[in-house]
Amino acid sequence: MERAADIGQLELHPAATGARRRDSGDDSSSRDGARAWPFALVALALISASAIFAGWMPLRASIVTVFLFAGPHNWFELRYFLARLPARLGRSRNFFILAGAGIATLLATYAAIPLLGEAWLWSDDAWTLAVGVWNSLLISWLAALVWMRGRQSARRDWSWSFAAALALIGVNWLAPQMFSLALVYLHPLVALWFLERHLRRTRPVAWRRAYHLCLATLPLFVGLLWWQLASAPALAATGQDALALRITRHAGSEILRNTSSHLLVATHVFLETIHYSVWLLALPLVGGLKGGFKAGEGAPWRFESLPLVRHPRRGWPRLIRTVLVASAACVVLLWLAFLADYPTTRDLYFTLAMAHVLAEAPFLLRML
Amino acid sequence: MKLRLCSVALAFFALAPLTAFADIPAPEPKPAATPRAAKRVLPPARMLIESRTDATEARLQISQSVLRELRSEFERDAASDAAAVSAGSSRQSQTIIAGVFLSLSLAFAGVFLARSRSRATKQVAVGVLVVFAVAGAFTFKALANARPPEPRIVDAGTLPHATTPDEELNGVVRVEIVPDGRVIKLIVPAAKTGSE
Repeated sequence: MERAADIGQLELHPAATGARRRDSGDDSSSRDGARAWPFALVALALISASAIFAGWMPLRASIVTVFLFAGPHNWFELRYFLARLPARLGRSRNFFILAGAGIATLLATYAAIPLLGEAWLWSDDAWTLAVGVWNSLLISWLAALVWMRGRQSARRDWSWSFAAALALIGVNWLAPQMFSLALVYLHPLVALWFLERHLRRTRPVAWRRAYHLCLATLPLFVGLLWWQLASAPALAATGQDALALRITRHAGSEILRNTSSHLLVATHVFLETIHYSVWLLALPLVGGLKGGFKAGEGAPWRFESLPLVRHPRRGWPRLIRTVLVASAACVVLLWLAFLADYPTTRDLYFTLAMAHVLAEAPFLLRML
Repeated sequence: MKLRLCSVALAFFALAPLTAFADIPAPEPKPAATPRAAKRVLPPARMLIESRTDATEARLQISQSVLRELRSEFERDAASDAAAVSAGSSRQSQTIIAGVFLSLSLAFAGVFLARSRSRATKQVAVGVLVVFAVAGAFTFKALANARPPEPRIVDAGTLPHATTPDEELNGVVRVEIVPDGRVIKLIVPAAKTGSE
């Protein structure tokens, strides 16, 4: 019972059991397995479309995708995390306390750095120092979470995380800005890891094979983009267009000055679109949100399946419902703010969106 | 296993200085005194362009704190070449911090290996160490030849609107030193309308 409370809410799809008895000729399992290839074809079509759109008109693609999907994908992530949060924390109590405290502290300092830097007109050295310290804190927090997660099982010794973290902190101090840029490009890929863990737990092995095939094509698409755009002219040569300047900076044109900003923005938009697609389409449709959309039971807008809503004694049904409804209202508000002042809203969004980037770490660790 | 691990570590530490020294150029004769590159990078300062109807002449106001920075930069420049390169010195401290953390990571990895009883863990650790040794050797080479980072691009804000592209504005300004703030202010007399 303790273990059940500890692992949180992850209901297996009926076909998941088929993953283990795939050789027994079970009908539902084979039917579900047969759906893996249509899933792969749709995914490949989506990846191709994203690559073409991102490479063809990267600035427009960036503006449109962030406007349309940034808010909703955050709502889906919040709902997903709430679905994974057990009503009884059990042995994971300290893990979640550290996760929550880390998210709050790191988010506050992340938001404070640009404000302080602009107000006090920091020198380049001061910026580098601030970014280096923040990255070091982030790595230390992740290492502590990995170690704590490892301690929850007697079979695992994950104390190697400290050695790895110290090495990463060392690498970070060689080029802090570059390390931050690496996080910008690596974050979209975390969603792919979430999806992999879900398919492993909830779908027959055919789905994973199909998914791995799709994953294998990603470097190919990135390679194609680089091949086509390596010598493309810069997107924002002058400082006149503030929005273009913001987008190219976000993609790292200020750090990788010898690389075409067209290429950087296209690569970033491509990865971001994949990230949004996973959270908004793939995970809900393959059953990431409990029960998928089957018979409307586990639909994203139905909150009864969440452990914190369903549990009679330990749940907070009103609070969780209010949080989710208020978050949905924030998504609408974000759209209105984008319409009113896109550049400022974009800046604000990408600062606050660090919360979901950080929150992904503990929930991903819980699935390992 | 321990013997193999020690051999790899020794090979790494033996080869690393060679790689590092290989990139240090041979000592050159002391160059004759030549004027140094004019470009100096100071901390950014906020600039304001103000059009005033009551102004009769253009005035450039520089705050005392900005002036102090300018003066100290020039004094440092005159005093010592080495000390003047502040970007270089901060880069040096970054490298020292990175070195300390990388050394600590090796120490922690060693403790982890010593504590671990799993054969697979040790094999993975040896593999990781070899990868790090090779990557480290290449990093020494790459960083030894890397140019110093360029200054961060500061946000020009709405200043680009002050001029139109490819148009140069010129005139004489009176330079003033003002006591407060970190703002450089350019006060320009407002353009007279045609009827006046």
